[in-house]
Amino acid sequence: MLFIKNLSKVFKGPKGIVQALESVSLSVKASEFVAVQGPSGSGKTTLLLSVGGLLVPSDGEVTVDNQNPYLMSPDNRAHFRASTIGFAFQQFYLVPYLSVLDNVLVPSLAFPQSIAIDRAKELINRFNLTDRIGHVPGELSTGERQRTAMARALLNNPKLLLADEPVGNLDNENANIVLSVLEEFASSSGAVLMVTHDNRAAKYAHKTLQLKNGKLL
Amino acid sequence: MTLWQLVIKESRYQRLSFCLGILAVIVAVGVLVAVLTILRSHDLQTQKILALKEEEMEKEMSIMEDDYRKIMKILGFNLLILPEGQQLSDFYAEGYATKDMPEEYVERLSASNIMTIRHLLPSIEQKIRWPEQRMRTIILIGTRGEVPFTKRDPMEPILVAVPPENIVLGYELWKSLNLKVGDKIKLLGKDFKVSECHPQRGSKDDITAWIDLKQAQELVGKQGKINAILALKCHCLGNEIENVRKDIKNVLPNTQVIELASRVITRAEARDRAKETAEFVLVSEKNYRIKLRNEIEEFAAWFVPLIILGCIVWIGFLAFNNVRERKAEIGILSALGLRSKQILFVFLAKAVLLGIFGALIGCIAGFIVGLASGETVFNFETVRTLFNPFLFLVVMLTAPILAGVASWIPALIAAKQDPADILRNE
Ligand SMILES: Nc1ncnc2c1ncn2[C@@H]1O[C@H](COP(=O)(O)OP(=O)(O)O)[C@@H](O)[C@H]1O
Ligand SMILES: [Mg+2]
Repeated sequence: MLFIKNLSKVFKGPKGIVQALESVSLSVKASEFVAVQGPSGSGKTTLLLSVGGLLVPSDGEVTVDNQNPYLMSPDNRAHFRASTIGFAFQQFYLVPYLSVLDNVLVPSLAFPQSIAIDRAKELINRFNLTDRIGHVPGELSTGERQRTAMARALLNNPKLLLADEPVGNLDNENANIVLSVLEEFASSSGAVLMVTHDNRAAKYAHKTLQLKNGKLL
Repeated sequence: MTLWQLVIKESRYQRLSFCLGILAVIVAVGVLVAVLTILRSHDLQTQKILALKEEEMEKEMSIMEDDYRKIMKILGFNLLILPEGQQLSDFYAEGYATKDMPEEYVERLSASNIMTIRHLLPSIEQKIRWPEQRMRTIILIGTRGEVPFTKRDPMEPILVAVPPENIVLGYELWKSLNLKVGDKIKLLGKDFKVSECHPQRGSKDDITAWIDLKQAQELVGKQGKINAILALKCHCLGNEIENVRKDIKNVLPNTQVIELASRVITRAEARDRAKETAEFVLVSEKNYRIKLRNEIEEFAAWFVPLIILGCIVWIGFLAFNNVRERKAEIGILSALGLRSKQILFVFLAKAVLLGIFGALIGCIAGFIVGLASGETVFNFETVRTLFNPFLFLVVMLTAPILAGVASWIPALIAAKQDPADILRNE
């Protein structure tokens, strides 16, 4: 499902050059749950964004579902993201004025005809958010926000799920809910790539890789 | 959820900035509609004022005309009875009748029971040379004063006769001959005493000498003849000159009657003068109204575009601010697969929404302000005439478009942003 070959990312900023990723190669098959573990600043988020078609790599190749998103036009890439990849961001990035239900429904805006409301309600139920369905993010706890973000990532039935620190700020109970859903998603033939500095994630993943200073160990 | 619902939810969430945006449209539309309503109200009021003035003028004119008619009725007609064979062209050319008729006619008239005539003045008039004064040309008029009606109470005579041996001189005559009252002069061999010297009249009267009728008849060799009877202050029902003519013709079949021009002219002149005055008043009122309108228009010509421009900048600024505040949201929408066209739509739809609401409220508010500060009174009729559905339509279409244009650049910036850049920088 996902192949990364010699992926490098160099940031050229005013404070000099930062080598965030250096020749990273890995693959995630369908039904596989891969975790990448590493300390803060090791390049985890950079890796996920590059894989997700949001950050053009400096070098190397990314193939998702047999396609290289960086060879597409921006609009086609957006459409490809919406249909193939599910994102759960480190900072959640929920839309502040939308209820839980509407936030979960946002990915369906990319497909004007889709009626996703049943799927959204089912996901909300799976993440134990039914009694919060009408609340806006400002009224939710961190755990509830994280679960909402996970539900949103799964709405369009993506083939690849990318999760950035999904349990980093969560207590054990919330972390277990999220991780078991990721495991479940993988077992229903989805591919999961999760990056985290958290040790709890490792026991749910099929494979755990270590990232340090932009390099896989 | 649709993109429209997203837009509406965002607008509700960012109530303050949305209301500020609406306010901008309200101000722009309101000022435009108010000014146009004031101008329309001004025009309506001008129409009303001028119509009222015209009506007033018409009324005053008819009152004035009626007054003149009444005055002229009191004064009556002045008629001139001339011999039947008198060519009027000769009469007008010479200034007096060249044919004559028996003096006895005046007695016949005074003995009749014509009630329409009041004063009768027979006269003989002729242009002559004055042999004693180097043959200068003068007009000699012989009068016997007023002939009283025998069948009526005698009235105060309005003209007195010139006694025999006396002469009354016009201004040019006494002035050039250096004569004064009491002097003696000779005319056609007869002696006369100057009994009166007229002041200047600016007419042929100034070269006229008046003497007794009988003496005049003798001097020009027309004993027992006259050539005109002046009938003054004639009256009849309805002031119809034809009736008087008929009455006179019945008594004196061999005569013709003409009305002296004075009365007709006076009336016509009075009417013209009144009309002129009224028209002047109307024109100056109209000019004043036009001037007033031009002043409002001139003010509006720079004020309205300035306000509209200001509001466009204001909306543009708000839109720019909105884009800046929603960077994360734009990033996430883009990351989750929304195309740039859809992002553009989110921002333009908001501007259009703003334009529609603002235009609607602005139209109503501007119309009310225009009505309140306009000149016309507030009632259903003026509301109906002042309301301009075309303007309403144009504003309802233009305001959302302009709001969209004002938000265009910020929206374009939003749509072109790279989601990764936005998300990483948050
Ligand atoms: N846009 C950027 N410009 C410059 N440097 C960046 C940028 N994004 C990340 N970096 C740097 O790249 C490195 C990896 O960052 P990141 O992927 O966010 O790490 P992690 O998610 O593991 O904490 C860090 O040293 C960070 O400072
Ligand atoms: Mg990170």
